[in-house]
Amino acid sequence: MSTEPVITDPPAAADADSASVSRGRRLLRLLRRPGIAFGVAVVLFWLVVLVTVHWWAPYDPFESTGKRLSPPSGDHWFGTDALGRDVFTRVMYGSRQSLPISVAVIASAVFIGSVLGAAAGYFGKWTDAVVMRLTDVTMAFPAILLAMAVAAALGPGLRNGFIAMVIVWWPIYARLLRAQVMAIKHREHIEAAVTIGATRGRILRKHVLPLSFTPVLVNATMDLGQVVLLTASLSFLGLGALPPSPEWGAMITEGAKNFYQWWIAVAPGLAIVSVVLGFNFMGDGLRDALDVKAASR
Amino acid sequence: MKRYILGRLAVVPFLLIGIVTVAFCISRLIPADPLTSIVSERQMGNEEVVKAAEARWGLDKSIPQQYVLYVKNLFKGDLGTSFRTKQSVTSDLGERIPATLELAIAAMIFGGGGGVALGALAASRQNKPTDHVSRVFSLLGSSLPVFWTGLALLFVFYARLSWLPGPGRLPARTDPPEHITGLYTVDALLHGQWSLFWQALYHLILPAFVLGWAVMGSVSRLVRASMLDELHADYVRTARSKGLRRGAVMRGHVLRNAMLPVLTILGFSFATLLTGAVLTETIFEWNGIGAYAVAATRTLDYPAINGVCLFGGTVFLLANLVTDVLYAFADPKIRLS
Repeated sequence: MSTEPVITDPPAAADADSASVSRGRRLLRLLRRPGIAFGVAVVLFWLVVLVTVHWWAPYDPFESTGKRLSPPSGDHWFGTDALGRDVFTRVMYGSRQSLPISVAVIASAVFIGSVLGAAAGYFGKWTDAVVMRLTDVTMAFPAILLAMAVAAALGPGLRNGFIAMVIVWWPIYARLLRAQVMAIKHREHIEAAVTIGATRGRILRKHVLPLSFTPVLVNATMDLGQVVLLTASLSFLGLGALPPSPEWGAMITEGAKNFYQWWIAVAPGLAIVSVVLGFNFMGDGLRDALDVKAASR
Repeated sequence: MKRYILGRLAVVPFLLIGIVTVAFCISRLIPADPLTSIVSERQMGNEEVVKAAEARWGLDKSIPQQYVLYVKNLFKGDLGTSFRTKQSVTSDLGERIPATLELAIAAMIFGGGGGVALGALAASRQNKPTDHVSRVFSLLGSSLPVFWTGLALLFVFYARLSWLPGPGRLPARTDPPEHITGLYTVDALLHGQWSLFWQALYHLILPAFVLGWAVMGSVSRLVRASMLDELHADYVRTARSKGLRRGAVMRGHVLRNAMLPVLTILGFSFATLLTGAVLTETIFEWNGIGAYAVAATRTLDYPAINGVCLFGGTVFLLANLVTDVLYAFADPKIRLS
């Protein structure tokens, strides 16, 4: 700020450069932070479970394999539920419900939000007005009520839960991208691109969006955990996954019905907590590590 | 500043229209025939009964006509009649708001107060064990599914240890205090019924803790970040160099300035608590808005779903408005621009 105005902006261009060259290496270096490393380890664990569970799970998740409501033992590490199904097996299979859906929700929300938000920020005028009023109205509703109402309207099931959650989450990314684009669009490297004659679409894709990578990454990581929570909450209320499927939230509902057989709800709850904590630790660490303001401290 | 506040107020009607429209659209999206939840199965063949029901709920008109009818009724404070309770949604909501309000206030005292204290403590001991413990505690708060924490705590403190009461606002077979505000603790105090007051308070502990913990996480993280920002400001160095003690600087200067951004999240948190009590109320059999919403979605009771959505949206809107205005009063920078 104290130097001549001519050289105030180059950092932006340099930023774009280094981002495209060494992004992978920079992200790898982040693993040295204990919070991030813990988060990544937990998430990796669940990913491995998700892919391999059908090879090593001791029982079938849908078959009755023992006495009903038997407490934890050597045969059934987390006991059995009201239908005699093995709770441990079901919790492990539960990763196949929660993780894919949260990734899908966030990916869709980031995609829809980015397109609309970037368009709003870049084109301004009525595009901006329409998109922003849409986000205003959507965000005026408390997330869980909106998700419940939409899920109830569409009927229970994970597919409809997915639609409900995308509706809840897209405005966050639309606003994020809009703010980013507005901040970036007057920088000199954009002006340069305009002078060369690059089309607006190309400028958005090549010069604006890459610079928005970091805030989106941090937000998306944190939100993945929140989607896992909301998925479980919807299922718990009977608006998400339906009974026979081994979804964590739905399993806790079964646990609540058999309140004194505590083991039915313990394992799925711990699974949710570990996944969400994992994502939260990753997000928290990433925010600290990537936020320029925090890094200077 | 007057212009700023007027500008904020001017947007409110438009947002309200948006909220009303979205709430209406969602409820009309419901594919199931609402008739099935109004008319009993045996009566479905009875054409007269079906006709009467359709006319009564405006179901025989087109969607745009239903919308106009709906908005007209809204202006009269009529949100329709719940299919499930057969009462007007307005009075249903009125009966349940105090329960949720009481829970939200208790959770706010716990979560907001605890969050500010925890965040300040963490900031003043940055990167020391206290900071790490508070970080884990906060992250846990926003990672735990409240319905599971509620169950677990009920199991331990009620079923096993019997230190705390089970679900509900009062013990079974206990009459609530005579209605003044609808908040049992306040009403009991106003009537001087001490034992009833303690009972109500006793029943509030667990749900308020469960609900408040989630808020505590976000509040404490923000207080910490915001205090750290202020700690590195020039005026802090000046205050320290003129010989003020660290504690005095913390309380007198840093905490005060750091509270500004916290104001926003406190307002937002309260709105979240009021509306986010859905899961907590279900677990603790708390007869508030959240439990009402859940029952409504289970029975496709769309006037009720609609009413709850409107209530939630309006609470959010007001909370945002109030914090923005407070913020303008508190922050001289906004007043100048």
